[in-house]
Amino acid sequence: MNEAESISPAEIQERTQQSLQGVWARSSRIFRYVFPLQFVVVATLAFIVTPNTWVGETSEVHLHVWTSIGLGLLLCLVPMVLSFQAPDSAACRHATAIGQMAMAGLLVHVTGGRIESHFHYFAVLAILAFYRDYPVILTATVVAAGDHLVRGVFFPLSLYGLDQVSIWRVIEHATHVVFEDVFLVLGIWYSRREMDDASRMQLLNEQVLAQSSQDRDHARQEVADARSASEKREAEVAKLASDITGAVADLDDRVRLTAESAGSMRETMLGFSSVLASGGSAVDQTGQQLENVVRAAQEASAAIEDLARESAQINDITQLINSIAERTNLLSLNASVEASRAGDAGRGFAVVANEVKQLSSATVESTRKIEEVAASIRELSQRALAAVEQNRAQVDQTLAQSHESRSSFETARSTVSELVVMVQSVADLNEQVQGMSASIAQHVKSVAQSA
Amino acid sequence: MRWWFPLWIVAILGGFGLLWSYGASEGPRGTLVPESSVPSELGSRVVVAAHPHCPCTLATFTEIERAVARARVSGDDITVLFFVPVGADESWAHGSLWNRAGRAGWRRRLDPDSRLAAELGLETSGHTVFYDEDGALRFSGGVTASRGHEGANTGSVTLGDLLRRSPNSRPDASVEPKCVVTPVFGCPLTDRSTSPATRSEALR
Repeated sequence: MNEAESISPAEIQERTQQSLQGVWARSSRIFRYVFPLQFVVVATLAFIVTPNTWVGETSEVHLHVWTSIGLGLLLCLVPMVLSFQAPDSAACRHATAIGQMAMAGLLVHVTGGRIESHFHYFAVLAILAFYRDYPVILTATVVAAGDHLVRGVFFPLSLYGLDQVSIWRVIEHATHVVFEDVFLVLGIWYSRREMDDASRMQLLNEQVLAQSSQDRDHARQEVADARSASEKREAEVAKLASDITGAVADLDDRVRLTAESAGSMRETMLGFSSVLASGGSAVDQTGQQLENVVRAAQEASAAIEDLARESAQINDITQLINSIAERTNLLSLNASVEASRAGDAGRGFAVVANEVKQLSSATVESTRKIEEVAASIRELSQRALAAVEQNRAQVDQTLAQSHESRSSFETARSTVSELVVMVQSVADLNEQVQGMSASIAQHVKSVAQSA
Repeated sequence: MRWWFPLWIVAILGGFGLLWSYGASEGPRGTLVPESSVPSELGSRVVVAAHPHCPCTLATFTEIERAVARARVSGDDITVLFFVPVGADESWAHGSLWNRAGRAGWRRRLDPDSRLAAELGLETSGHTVFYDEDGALRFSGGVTASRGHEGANTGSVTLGDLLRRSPNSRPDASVEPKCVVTPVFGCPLTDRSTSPATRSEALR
């Protein structure tokens, strides 16, 4: 099937009608300027040609001046309003035709029917042909004919009878108008036929374009999809870059805080290490003092043992003294017996013997007390020794604990030193991380901008 | 159709009707003077009464110019009587019509208070009379179809025909010459309701 055959006459007519609507609107817009110009010319001519009417030596403003202004405005009014409200309407076209032909009639009237001013009818008819609308030409012709008939025939005829000259003149003018109308209608017919041809070509082109338009739309859709996906990816990249930038900034902050904490920790560690060193020294001093105490306790223990040993020798001495005292007592007894036997001569001796006895008794008593004291000393020595031993054991335990503390201090100090080194390493690492994070942020920013 | 569209048409017709009726309103017809020696005294067969400032008379002059041109006669055959009010000087009559008549080669004659025109029975500007060589009135009236409107009409055609005939060319002496009368469209030459003295006073 031929492509041209697929376009129906109705479609062509519809498209031509659409084109005509544009032609009508454009033509109406032209008359928006023509009408005011004509009005100004007509009013000016009326003022120049027929300013006054006279009766003898008195005058007044000529009726043409007022009617050209009033009627001129009236003729402009409706076509101008319609040209703004509905420029492509039939009412606007016909109102324009009526207004234009009537304006030509007014021009002819105010110029006194000058034959030259009749040219305006033909000029207006030609401009009205812009509409490419047969009825408009018909309306204009009817208005022009009516103007001439009424003005040129009926008024004089009705008042003064038949004027064959005027009738022929009207017929002559009408013939000229009809002559122009014929060619205007012919021109419009040609123009409309060309518009139909243009519409047919336009519809054909649109059919071809519709097919290519579908392909183009498809390609355009693909491009749009790709663009949408690209934009989505770009958005994601941008968001990711933004997130990374934020994370890097956060990391940078955290690294900076860590570096600051590491610095503070290092300072604290160094202070703690110093404190540990002081504590170790104090433990050392305590240990030395405890060793002195141990040594003093050992010396005290030895002294107590010596005291106990010496107090044991006191028993031996007291036993010896007791044995001596017993012998003395026995001796005093013997002396007393002898003294008694000696009578008076032995009285004095008896006295001595008694004294010796008493001394012996006193000695025995004293030694018993000494033994008690010695026993008490031994007991006390045992108790002191036990106490010293007990204290010594505690001191030894304390000393051992002191040594352990010393060792713990040393271990702690060593550990703190190691921590200081590690913290320093962390601080150094933080600096490197900061540098890397700045570099990452810069790269991410570049990526985000390029995305 | 919008309701005001017919109103607009009616208003236009009303406006043009006003113009047409004004244009078709003739001036005072005056009186027919069948025979007069005034034209021969003036030296012209055609005498035209003109108000120097009447805009309608311009069309009359145009039609007479065309008639003269068609008849190929001298401008001396035309005399224009220019109305001048009583007491006014000559310059009152000078204007476009005065100059137009001068350029056409017509005889120009000042006519104080339209006395000479009154002798010929002319009361309206543009009123034209044609007297043949015997002093008989052959035409009286206007040479325009309406007020100030140019174009061929009975008056202008008749005047042209009369001018075209050579003097003493009456076709049939036995036939009484016919006088053609047409309406005159123009300004009244004088206000006959007032006396010349009053008009002179008004002018001053």
